[in-house]
Amino acid sequence: MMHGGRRRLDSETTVASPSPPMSLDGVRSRGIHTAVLIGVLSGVLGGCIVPIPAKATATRSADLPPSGQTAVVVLFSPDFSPQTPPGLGRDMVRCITRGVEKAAPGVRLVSENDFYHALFAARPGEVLLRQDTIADLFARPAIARRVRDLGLTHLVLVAGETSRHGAQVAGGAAGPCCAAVMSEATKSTRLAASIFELRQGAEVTRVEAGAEGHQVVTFGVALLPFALGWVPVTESPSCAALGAEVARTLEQGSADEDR
Amino acid sequence: MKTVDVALVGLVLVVALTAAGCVWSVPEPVVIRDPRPQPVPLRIGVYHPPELRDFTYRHHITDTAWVLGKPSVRLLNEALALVFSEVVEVPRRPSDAGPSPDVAAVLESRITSAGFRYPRIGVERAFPTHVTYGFTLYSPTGARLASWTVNGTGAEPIDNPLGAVGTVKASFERAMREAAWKLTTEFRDVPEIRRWLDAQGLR
Repeated sequence: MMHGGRRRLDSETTVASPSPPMSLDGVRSRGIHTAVLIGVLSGVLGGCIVPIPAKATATRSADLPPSGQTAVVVLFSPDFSPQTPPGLGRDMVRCITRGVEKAAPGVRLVSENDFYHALFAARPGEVLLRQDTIADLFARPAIARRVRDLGLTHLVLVAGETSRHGAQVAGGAAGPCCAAVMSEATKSTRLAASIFELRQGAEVTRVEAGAEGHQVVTFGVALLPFALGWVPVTESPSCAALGAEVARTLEQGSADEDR
Repeated sequence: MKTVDVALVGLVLVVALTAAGCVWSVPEPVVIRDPRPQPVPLRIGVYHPPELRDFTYRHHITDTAWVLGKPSVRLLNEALALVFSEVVEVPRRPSDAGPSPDVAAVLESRITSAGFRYPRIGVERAFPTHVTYGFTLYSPTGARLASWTVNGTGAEPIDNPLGAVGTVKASFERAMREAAWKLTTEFRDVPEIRRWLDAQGLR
């Protein structure tokens, strides 16, 4: 062993010496193979955390009063829902917009830019859209006139968050090469869309959607690192359910007047 | 204690410690223009001293610095332009030796307090942040007319723990924006300001 070790050291440090190439290449080759094997196995086992779509449900607090030709703008305002992560807020706007485009042909969508530019001559963020300011903002004669000119009837403001509760963790080890930590929790997403009728500046209905699921994840080492378990996917189905329900609500409000 | 929150805060701490010694600029907040206040029909001077312009908040644990002065100057100028019919920047505080004759008064601004703290585990998923601006109104000859503060808070939800720096920046942005909003809407509620406006024949 000592002799072999010295020979390898000599071959690595002495450039001009006639080193045994098989020895160095063999070590490198074995190292690369081992690294690739560990990488592949870790990747395969790491992929054992399975995302499971949770079932989402949606409800609305009331039907939309008939308004005839419906035109709507869908917005995320951090002033209205400060607890909503911006990424989730923007996703919710996209889900509702898609839902309306797909399932509510009688409803006209007004873009965020058109809304701020045409009504307030302002950029997003320059208008304080909050539960306590909306009625006053849209009651102002100049704004009310611009709302009529734009044909805008409703404003949809989104809010939501994902939380985990009931988390528990357990772990253990059996020898130096075998240890694991398991955690479990309930993941829950609650999303909401408040629909304001702009002539009154009042919230006329609120659509809520949500999903919940149990997650179990185990991380550990058993000669190789591994991760096993499942995680519920709650935001995407909740978002899609919210979009569909808002679209149905708006379409019904639009259709009721037509009848 | 929630395991998930402990992991979240731990990850945030690791990111923060990696960023130790860094200086971060905070984006200039957007001033709230609507609902807008009735402007005071006066030409007013604004003096932003070097203490405000160069203000940097340093977090004691992570040793990170957050540049708040520069974005504050433009924000306050835009906010004050909503409060008064005309606003001009003046290079110094007025005094008997150097009065500012072409303005009705001079408003001096400063940051009296600013900071953020780490989330309380299991209770918060944001970095509670605050910025307090102090203002002193002087007559054109330098007499002190009014002094008051406005406070803004921000708590941007942590979307991605690896983006903790961006979350703190956004929280400061929100806090400054809220403070500026209070400056524009609560200006006339300050008793000394009311008395000064009365003396100017304004309500």
